[in-house]
Amino acid sequence: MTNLQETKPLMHLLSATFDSLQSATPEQLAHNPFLQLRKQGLDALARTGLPTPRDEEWKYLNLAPYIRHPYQLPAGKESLSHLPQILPITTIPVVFFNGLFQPHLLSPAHGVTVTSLAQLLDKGSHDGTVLGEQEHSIGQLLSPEDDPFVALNAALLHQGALLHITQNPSQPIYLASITQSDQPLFVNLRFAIRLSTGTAATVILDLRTLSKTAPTFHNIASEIWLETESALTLIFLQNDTAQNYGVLTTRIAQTARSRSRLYTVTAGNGMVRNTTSVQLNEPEAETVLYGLSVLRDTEVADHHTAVEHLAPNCQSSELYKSIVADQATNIFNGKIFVHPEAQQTNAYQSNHNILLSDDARVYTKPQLEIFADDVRCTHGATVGQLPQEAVFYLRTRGLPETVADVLLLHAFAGEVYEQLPLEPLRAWIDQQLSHRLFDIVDLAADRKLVDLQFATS
Amino acid sequence: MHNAKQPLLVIENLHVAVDDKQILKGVDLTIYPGEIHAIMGPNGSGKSTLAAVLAGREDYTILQGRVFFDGKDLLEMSPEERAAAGLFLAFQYPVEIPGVSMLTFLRTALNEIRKSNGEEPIDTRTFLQRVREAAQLLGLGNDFLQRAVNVGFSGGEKKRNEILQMAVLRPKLAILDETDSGLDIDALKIVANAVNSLFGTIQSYLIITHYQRLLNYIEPDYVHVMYDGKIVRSGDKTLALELEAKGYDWLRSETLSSIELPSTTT
Repeated sequence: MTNLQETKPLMHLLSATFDSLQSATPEQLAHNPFLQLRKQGLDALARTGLPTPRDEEWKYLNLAPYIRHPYQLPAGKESLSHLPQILPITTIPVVFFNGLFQPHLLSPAHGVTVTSLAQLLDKGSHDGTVLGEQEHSIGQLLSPEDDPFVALNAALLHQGALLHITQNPSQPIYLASITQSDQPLFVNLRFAIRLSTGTAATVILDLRTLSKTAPTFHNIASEIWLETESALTLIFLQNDTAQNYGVLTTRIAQTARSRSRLYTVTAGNGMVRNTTSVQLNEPEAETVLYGLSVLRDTEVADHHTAVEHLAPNCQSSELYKSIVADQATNIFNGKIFVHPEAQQTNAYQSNHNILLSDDARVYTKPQLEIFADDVRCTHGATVGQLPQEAVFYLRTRGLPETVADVLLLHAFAGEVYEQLPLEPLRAWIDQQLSHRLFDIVDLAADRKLVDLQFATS
Repeated sequence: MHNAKQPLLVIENLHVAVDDKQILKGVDLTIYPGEIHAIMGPNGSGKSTLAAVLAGREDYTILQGRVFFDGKDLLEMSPEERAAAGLFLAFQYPVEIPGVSMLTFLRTALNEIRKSNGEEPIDTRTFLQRVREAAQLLGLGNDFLQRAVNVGFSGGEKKRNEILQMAVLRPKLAILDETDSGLDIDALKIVANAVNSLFGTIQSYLIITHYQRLLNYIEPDYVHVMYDGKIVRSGDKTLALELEAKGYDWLRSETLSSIELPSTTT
């Protein structure tokens, strides 16, 4: 590594990878797929560097303010004595604290096998067939060539987890990264999740930082396989604090009659980039992508989605909404590819945005590429403001302007998560968002939550 | 007969413009508790503007005049303050509120009004009872209350919904802005019956209408004719019949001749 590279943001994190590759024998390099992946990541990064607004896929997201901090990778053996109560539900906790897996928080759970990636790597002798079969191994769905952050994730490959769902788990799986540090922390995690035939599971991917002074940057890459007739609900919680930054790359590969439902709630983290792609590889697979951003201050949310219809009779529907206040920015880019063999495809996409200030920004771009003739695809995007006619109507019925605004915004937002299957979690999200909406419309401080009960009635 | 009472609404010499165009050119009107007033007039005469100004719509400019509601300066009050004080406007074109159910909407509105008046929130049982009675009065089923406000409602349902809200909120003065337009005869009777049966709970009505039809069912004490931004004639309910018989053209010629304008059009 040259000195020049070391002066670039984040590149100082790669020195350990560099060392591990230099000390590896050609024999090890040839037989250890993890080392190979690290090398591929390093090589890809050396070629492309980190993305800048000059890259088409990163056009509206300027990463410079988020990557400039002197981040450190996790060190030592940091341990979290107990899981803080964040969500109002009981879960199967697969928790990383300051970037390190916390196996002691996980008790044996029915239906799911959890393997620590770090443990596999440290053994060094593993043959690389993760989750039992070569085709379900790390690096099969996400290649370092795809994206600089996937390359960085591969180059830093160490912490993460492999989840194999063999029967229906009794509780949602809580994949959580929690940090608490006085120093800027870089958390690089890799997940591989496989749902066996006919199983159903809910996975919550949650990013939390308890740090007040120093930022945490998450770079998370997830590869997910849905076997025949399996069903996954995947919930991304991004409603933490401004010091929490994240780039999350997720790719889901689906086989026949499998179903995935993704919910993304972005309402608090300072910067989030979600690069989410779903491959519908076999007939009658179905995916639902729902996303909501409620942004204020200088928060940035960037949702890039890609749905690939590769087989006949598959269905995808996408609904992304945003409420953007202050100087915040929401970006939506939704690609739908319908390949020639994907006849009888149903694909829906919509993106609706409400701007609440003159300085708020919304960028929306639907991209449809359709190569089959017997398909039904619809898409729509809108950017608007609070409908003043409706506000006036509500005010003539006695609602103060702020309450009218919140009622309308809440109804607008609610469509995204009203179908969320876990009721206590849905109610919790609803409450968090209602608080945020009231803050955003600058409500007088004496208003009590009681008035918000319309939310769940 | 009403000299002992304080008037509910007093409009004095009201001049209003929208986008630099003057719409109201000196309206005077006084309504006492227990009275039903009707304002008739051709399209564009300023009837709906008057309703909107009374409800507090903000894109109008008050050029001159004063309005008192229950002794308070109405024009100084926000729309929600007017609602809390007991003024209600049934919209000519009710607005859709996607994602907000009728029940949520009604309870939020009712409790906000109660809160402004220093009252506790209504208890759920009383609330539901009141809402169901109102729905029944308007011939609307309980499933109607689960639907989003005005979303996918027929024209007639939207109008009945306005009266449903009035029945739940129980204002002192209700202004019905062309509530009869778009209603078939059966729906018209239902609405009129509801308005009549709530009279008393609701102290006064101001009924704005283009046609005399509704006034067959709701008998006004006073009928006012509005033309070119002014009330040009007032009388009892027979004025409505006269107007219906002679048409608004009669009024136009009357008005023009009475103020002796030179005829500039042919």
